[in-house]
Amino acid sequence: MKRCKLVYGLVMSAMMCALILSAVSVSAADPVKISFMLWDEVQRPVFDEIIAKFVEANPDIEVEIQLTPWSQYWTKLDAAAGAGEAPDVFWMNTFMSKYVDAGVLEPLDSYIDAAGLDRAAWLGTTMNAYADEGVQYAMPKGMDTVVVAFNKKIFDKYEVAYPADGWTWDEFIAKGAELRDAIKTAGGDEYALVMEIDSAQPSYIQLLAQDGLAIFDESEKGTDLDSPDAVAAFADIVALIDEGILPDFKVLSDTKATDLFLSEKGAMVYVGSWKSSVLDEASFAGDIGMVKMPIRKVDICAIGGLGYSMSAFSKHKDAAWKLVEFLSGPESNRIQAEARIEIPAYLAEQEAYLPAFKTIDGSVFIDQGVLSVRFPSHRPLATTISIMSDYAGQIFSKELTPEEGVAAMAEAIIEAVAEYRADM
Amino acid sequence: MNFWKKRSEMKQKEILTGYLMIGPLLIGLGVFYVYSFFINIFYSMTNKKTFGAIKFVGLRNFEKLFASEKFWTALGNTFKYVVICVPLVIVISLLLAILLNRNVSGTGIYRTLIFLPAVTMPAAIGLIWKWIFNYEFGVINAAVSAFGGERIAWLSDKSVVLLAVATVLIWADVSLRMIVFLAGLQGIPNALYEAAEIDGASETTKLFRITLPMLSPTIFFAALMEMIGVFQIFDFIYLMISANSAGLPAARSLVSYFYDEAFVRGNHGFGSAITVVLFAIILIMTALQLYFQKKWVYQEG
Amino acid sequence: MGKMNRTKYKRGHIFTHAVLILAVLISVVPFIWMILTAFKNYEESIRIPMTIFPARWNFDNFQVILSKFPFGRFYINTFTVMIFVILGELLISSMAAYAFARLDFPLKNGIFIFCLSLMMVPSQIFIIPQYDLMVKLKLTNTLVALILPRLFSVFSTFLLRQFFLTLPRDLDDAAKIDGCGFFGIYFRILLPLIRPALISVAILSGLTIWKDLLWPLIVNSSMERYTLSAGLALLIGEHTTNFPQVMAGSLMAVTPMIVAFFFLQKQFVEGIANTGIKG
Repeated sequence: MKRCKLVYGLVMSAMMCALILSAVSVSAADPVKISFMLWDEVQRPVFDEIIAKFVEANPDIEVEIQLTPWSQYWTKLDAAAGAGEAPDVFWMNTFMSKYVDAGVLEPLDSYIDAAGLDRAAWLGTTMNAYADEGVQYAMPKGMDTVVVAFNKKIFDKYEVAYPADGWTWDEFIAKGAELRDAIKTAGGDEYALVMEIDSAQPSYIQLLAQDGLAIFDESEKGTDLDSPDAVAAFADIVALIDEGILPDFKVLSDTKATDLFLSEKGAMVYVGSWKSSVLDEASFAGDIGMVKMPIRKVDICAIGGLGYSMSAFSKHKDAAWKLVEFLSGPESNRIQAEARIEIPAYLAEQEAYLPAFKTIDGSVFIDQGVLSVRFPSHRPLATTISIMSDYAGQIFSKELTPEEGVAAMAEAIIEAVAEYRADM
Repeated sequence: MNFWKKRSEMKQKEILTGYLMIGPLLIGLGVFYVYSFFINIFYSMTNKKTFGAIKFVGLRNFEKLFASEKFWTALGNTFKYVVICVPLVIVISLLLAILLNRNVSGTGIYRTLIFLPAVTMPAAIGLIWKWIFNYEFGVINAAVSAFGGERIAWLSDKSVVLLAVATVLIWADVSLRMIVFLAGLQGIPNALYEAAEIDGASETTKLFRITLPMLSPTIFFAALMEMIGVFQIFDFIYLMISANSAGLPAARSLVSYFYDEAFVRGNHGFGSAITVVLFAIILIMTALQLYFQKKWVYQEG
Repeated sequence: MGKMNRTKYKRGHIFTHAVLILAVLISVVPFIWMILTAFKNYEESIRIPMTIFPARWNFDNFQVILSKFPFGRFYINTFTVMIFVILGELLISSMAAYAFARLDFPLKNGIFIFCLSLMMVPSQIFIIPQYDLMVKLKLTNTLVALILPRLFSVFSTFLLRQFFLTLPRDLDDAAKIDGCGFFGIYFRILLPLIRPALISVAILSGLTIWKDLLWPLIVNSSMERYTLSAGLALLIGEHTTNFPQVMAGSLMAVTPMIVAFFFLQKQFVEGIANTGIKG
């Protein structure tokens, strides 16, 4: 108790000192100051480490990390871009085209060539994902896959056999039903399955991709969600809710599915590799099993992944490029792999990923990515994906049937695509 | 010029000083409010985005707005907040003010503690209640379970989320209004009550014949302010209900809708149109309320 | 007093106490729950059945929050903005209020009524244009952006005008005879006399800044320029919602104003009471 107070006091006074120092200090050498924005608080400490390494190698550059949570990240980037003063370097995802069109992103090809980098050193899918019409606008950070994690303790408690790789969607439903019945009979309060159906990537996007849909594309309509195949994925999730395998949408939107799993309330969870470190550090990590997603029509995973972009408004482009180069380079990839926060896009460092896990078996994250497609994307994605989650929400809360919801969703997306093109 | 010369030097000085002294306020109001107001009306007729060129689109934003189901739901929700919150805030705060005005022992402590929400930022209030209302681990559902009830998804069940948000709003606003009423009550001359006591009036009679009529201007003004405030509800919804929550459609207010469109989706033009509609509604409601005030409120003298 | 009367009187008191105690509980319990949660660890907070008190009072959550977010900055930013807005607003509003209350000039009433009409306009209508102005002035992501539009308050002007009107005219006349100019009358004679009103206005405008969320959230994108209110919005993370940490952050954010309130209760109450004044 006393010690804690002391530590707290020390932290407070150290902060105060730092603040006063930063306010007064007019350093002699005046290093170049650049900013770097990211959204993931889980990865922040790892990036503190990487930036420290970077500054050590480049003492003339000072880097300010700006953490802006996902819920505000794009709002902030939009605003910053509108004001013509984005952070010098920032995380980018598949929303990239929108920022290319807005002239926010600095083309990187000349820098890549000047630095003599070999593009083949990075995973092709991820490198290509950040090229827009042949121009590179971001350097890949890593790749992310989605797998199913399960809590062995809950399976053991209700005497249900663990799932195994290569299972089909029907087997998955059967497993869920078996768990549900066993839990019900024993009077337990766990959920057989939890899934973040309030966000697209770790849920319905995967189902749709496995059903062979392109979802978002650069065709004239911009989507194939208006085909009858698109309904099945949503109908299947609604069926899981109806059958009591998956809790109601209202439960899943109140507490994140991963949080339910981490508090041992869920037996199985669809989970992204970006959460692997959280899983590995759970108090019951030793009892977490991992399998690939159940296979629907095609055994495939829509992989996302991030990139590092550089602001076209940056006043210190050389310094900013140095940071981008370092962040996407081998050392940074290794540090991230060792911290289990990212499957490296830099191929030579992928081997550092697996041994990093303390308890859980991370190999599934890599296996799941073997057969993969790039995360569905088209230019107006930032708008269309929010339209998609709007209607998905209405389907999951049963305001619309899957048929009605998907039809309305497709119509709204097609309209948004047309509007985006008209505005350009 | 003649007009100016006719005045004494003193008078000229007074006029000059007057304009100089209201100058800073007028310039500031002019730039940040009057100019902004008209520019906003112009924006509402454009396709303005966070970045990119601006194109005039006439009334298309309003057409889209009135055709949007989201808008009507948000408008309906906002009216529900007003109808639920305004009367309850006024009645509860009035009751508490009357009780505090009795000056029983400990009044000072009661007043201080009831006042706490008024000095707390809505952002923190939202977070605290988000935790209290949590479905799995919230203290309210723990109590519900302990008594054998079925847990309720306060913030994501469409049928209760609006009531949950309204509860928080009432909790946060009662203390402010209570203080206003308390000051109003203390301003009522004691002689009125003394005279009534001589006539043998009961407590109830005194309340309805003296207290409420005397306080009616304050009550009406407070109700007006509260109504305008509730029409702009945003903070609690923003902090308690996440963007893709099942509860959001049933809780979304006009200002939440505005924030979402203008600053999350970056549609400034469409967002401006929403605020113009909000302005029109508040204007009408205020006019109605002032009209009724003329009819009902006790006028001194 | 008869015996009957006294029991009736007492019964009334019991009712009063009961209702007031209930109101106090409802007001205070959420704060207590915030404090208790802030000292629990994550596992404790999601334990079922729930425990009321933390097993061990630890400051870990505070340390985590302080390491993740520049809370020190949030405090400094909030207080800086509050101080500048309060001082600026007091000066600008009181000058205008004096002119409206004491001086005579053409169009005075028209201008005043026009200003009052701005009070009826919902603030959201100004936000996008104000934001654009800040962009044009290259002020986004600065504290100036938080201060500038808040300096001009119709309500404060209105309030101060009401107070100026209560002061006797003889004061002005006497000062004029002594050779005091209009500005001198305002600054040296009248302003000191309405000190309580100035304090009310200071508290009200301070509270407004303290509570404001939408504007700081929109106009500043760097965390280093956030106020406490906007900073709190950052606490709801994407990945895990660790409520003990969120409550620790909230506790840190609400404390300064609650402490200030305990010390300046009378001024706070008078300040708020003045918002009930109508013209």
